[in-house]
Amino acid sequence: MGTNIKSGGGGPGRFAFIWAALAVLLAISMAVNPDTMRTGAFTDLIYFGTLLSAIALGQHIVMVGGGIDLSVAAQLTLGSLVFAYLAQGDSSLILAVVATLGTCAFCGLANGIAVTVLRITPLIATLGVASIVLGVAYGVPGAIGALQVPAVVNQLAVDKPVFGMLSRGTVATIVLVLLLSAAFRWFSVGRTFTLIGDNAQTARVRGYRVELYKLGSYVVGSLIYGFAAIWLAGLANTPGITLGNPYLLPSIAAVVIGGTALGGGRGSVVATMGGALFLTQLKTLALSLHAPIAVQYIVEGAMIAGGMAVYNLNIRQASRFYLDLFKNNQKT
Amino acid sequence: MTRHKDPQGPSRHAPSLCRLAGTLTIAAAAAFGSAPAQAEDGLSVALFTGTCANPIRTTWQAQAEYEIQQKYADVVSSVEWFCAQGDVNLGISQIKSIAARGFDAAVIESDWGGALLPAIKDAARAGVKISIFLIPVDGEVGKDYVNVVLSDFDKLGENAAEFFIDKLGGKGTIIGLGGPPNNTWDTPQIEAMKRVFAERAPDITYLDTGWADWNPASSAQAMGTLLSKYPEIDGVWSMEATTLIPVLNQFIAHDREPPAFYGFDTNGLAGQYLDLKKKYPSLEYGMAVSPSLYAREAVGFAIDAALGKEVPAEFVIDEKFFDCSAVCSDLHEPSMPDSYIPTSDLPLDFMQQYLK
Repeated sequence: MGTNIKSGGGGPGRFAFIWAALAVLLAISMAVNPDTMRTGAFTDLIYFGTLLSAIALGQHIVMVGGGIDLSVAAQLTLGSLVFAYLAQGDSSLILAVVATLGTCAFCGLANGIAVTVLRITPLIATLGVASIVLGVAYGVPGAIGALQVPAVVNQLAVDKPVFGMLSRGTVATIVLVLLLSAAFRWFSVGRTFTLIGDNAQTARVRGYRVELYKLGSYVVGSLIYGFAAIWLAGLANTPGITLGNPYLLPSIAAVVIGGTALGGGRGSVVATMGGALFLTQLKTLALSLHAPIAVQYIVEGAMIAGGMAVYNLNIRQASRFYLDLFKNNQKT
Repeated sequence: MTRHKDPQGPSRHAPSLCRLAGTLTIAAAAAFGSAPAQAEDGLSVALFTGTCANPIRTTWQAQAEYEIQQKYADVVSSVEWFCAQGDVNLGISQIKSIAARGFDAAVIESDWGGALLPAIKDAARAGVKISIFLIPVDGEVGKDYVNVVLSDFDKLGENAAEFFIDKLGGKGTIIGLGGPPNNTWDTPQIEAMKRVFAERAPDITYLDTGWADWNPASSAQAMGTLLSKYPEIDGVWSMEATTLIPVLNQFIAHDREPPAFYGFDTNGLAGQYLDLKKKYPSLEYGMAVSPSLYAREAVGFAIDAALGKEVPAEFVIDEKFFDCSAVCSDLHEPSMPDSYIPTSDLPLDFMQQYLK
C-alpha cells in the first residue's frame, strides 16, 4: 500500500527545505540590500508573512485533502466587506466576526458540495463559486469603497503589542499553525484526513467517510479565510471589491513551495508558513532592488517550479535509472 | 420625462447576470434585428464605463444622471448604465448592443484604450453620438465619435508638486504609490511632478514609486519596504485615496510621523485627516479634486450632438486641488459615506442614493 499517513505531520527532510531556502534568501537580502533586514523591515516580514500564512493555511487544508481552492480571493473580499458592513458600530463587532466567519464557511460549504456531491473538478467548482461569491460581494451595500472599519478594528489589526513586533493577527496565526500541526500529527482526525488526501481509494475501502472529510476541508479552510478577511479589513481600513485579488496565486505558491503535494496527502502547516514568509521576503527584496515587475513574476514562478521539482525529484530513483541506462549501453 | 434605472445599476448587484443579459442582448439583436431603445418622445442615452468598482465610477454615474435631470429632462426619455466589470469582451458586446438597440447618444469611458475602437466606430456608423471621456481611444474625432473629454495629467502632477513645494518649504523627499507598474495614469503625473521639482525646487527629490496595484494591503506592504529603504520621507503621493490611510498607518507602525500626503478627495480620507491632525498638528493633505466632472461634461456634449448642436472636438478638465487644512472642516460630511467625493458638487440627498 502506497499510503504514508505520517508524512502529513511533516517529515523533517522534505519540509525543512523551505526553511533552508528562507535562510539563504535572508542571507542574500542581508548581502545585497541590508535595508531589507532592518528591525522595521523584519517586523514587516513577520506581519505580512503571517498574514499570507493565515490565508495559505486555509489553502493548505484544502490541498492536503486533494483539492485546490480558487475562490480564496473572492472569499477574502466578501468576508472583509461583510465584516466592514456589520462592524459599523463598536457594539456589533462580535456579530460582525461571527457573520464573517459564517459567510466564509458557507462559501466553503458551497465549494465542498460542488466537489463532493456534484462531482465537479475542484478547479472548476471553486472557480464557479468564486464568480458567484464575487457577484454577492458586489451586492454588499457600500462595496464600492463606501465602507470603513471602525478605528478600533484598524488599531487592533495594525498594532504590534507582543514584544513590539508581533500583531494580534500574527500571534493568532502562530497559535493556529501549532494547533493544526498538532491535529495533523497526533490526532486521528488529522491523520485520517491526510490518508484520504494521499489515497482516497484506500481510505474508502477502509470505511472512512471520504466525501465528508473533503467537504469539511473546504469549510475549515474557508473559516480560516474568514479570520484572514477580518485581519485584512482591519489592515486596509477601507476594504474594496478588489481587496483579496493579490492573494490567490501566493496562497497556492506558499503551500506548494512549503512541500505540500499538489495531489494531496503530504504537507506541513509549519512549512506552509515558511513558504509564506519566503514569498513575502522575496517580494520585499525585489521591490527594494527596483526589480522590474516582469523579473518579480519570473522569479516567483521559477521558485514555484523549482520548489516542486526539488520535492518531486527522487534522487535515488533517478540515479538508479541513469546507472541502469549506462550499464545497458555498455553491454550493447 | 427622464426615466432613471436603479441607481446602483443591475450590473453592480449581479455582474454575472449582467454579462448573461449583455450576451443575450447581442444574440437577440443579431438574430432578430435591433430593438431601438429610444422612446417615441425623446432621446435615449447610454452611459458606459469599463469597470464600476470604485467611488469615482459611482460618482460619474451620479454626475451624468444629475446633469440630464437638471438640463435635459425635457429632451431625454431614457438613460441606461452599462458597466463592463473589467471585461473587455463584455465591454465590446455592450457597445455593440448600444449600437444595435439604437441609442441616440452615449458617453464611453474605456479602460482599455483603443481595444473598444472598432465597436465604437460601429456605433458611430449606426448613428450614436458618442463622447469619449478620461482615456483616449485613438480614432478620429468627428467621425468615430463627436468629442473627447480628457484629464490634464501634466496639470495633475504640477498641482501635486506645487503642494509639496509649498508644504515642505522647497526641500525634502517624496515617495509615490501607484497602481500596476508604469501605468498610463500614474506615470505621466509622476513625470510632471519630477519636472516641476527639477525646475522650481531642486532640493526636493522624488525618491521612488511603490507599484502596488492601488490595493490598500499591497500598498501598506510596499510602504513598509520603502520605509526601511529610505530613512527620510517627507511626502507621500498616491492618486488612489483608499491606499493612503494604511500607508500613513505604516509610518506610525515604524515609529515615524506621518508625512505630508497628496491624493484625490474622499469623505473618508478627509475625516481621517481631521482625526490624525489632532495628534499630528503639522500633518498636511493636498486634496486633488477627483475627476468626477468628466461624465457630466461628456453627457452634455453627447446629448448636444444628438440634438444637432456644435460641440468642441476636445475638452480638457481644469484640474484643481485644495489644501485640506483650510477646507476639510467644511467639506467633510459626517452624515455621508466614506466614499462620498466632497468636491463632486452634487446635492447630498441626490448623492446618497448612489452610495448606499
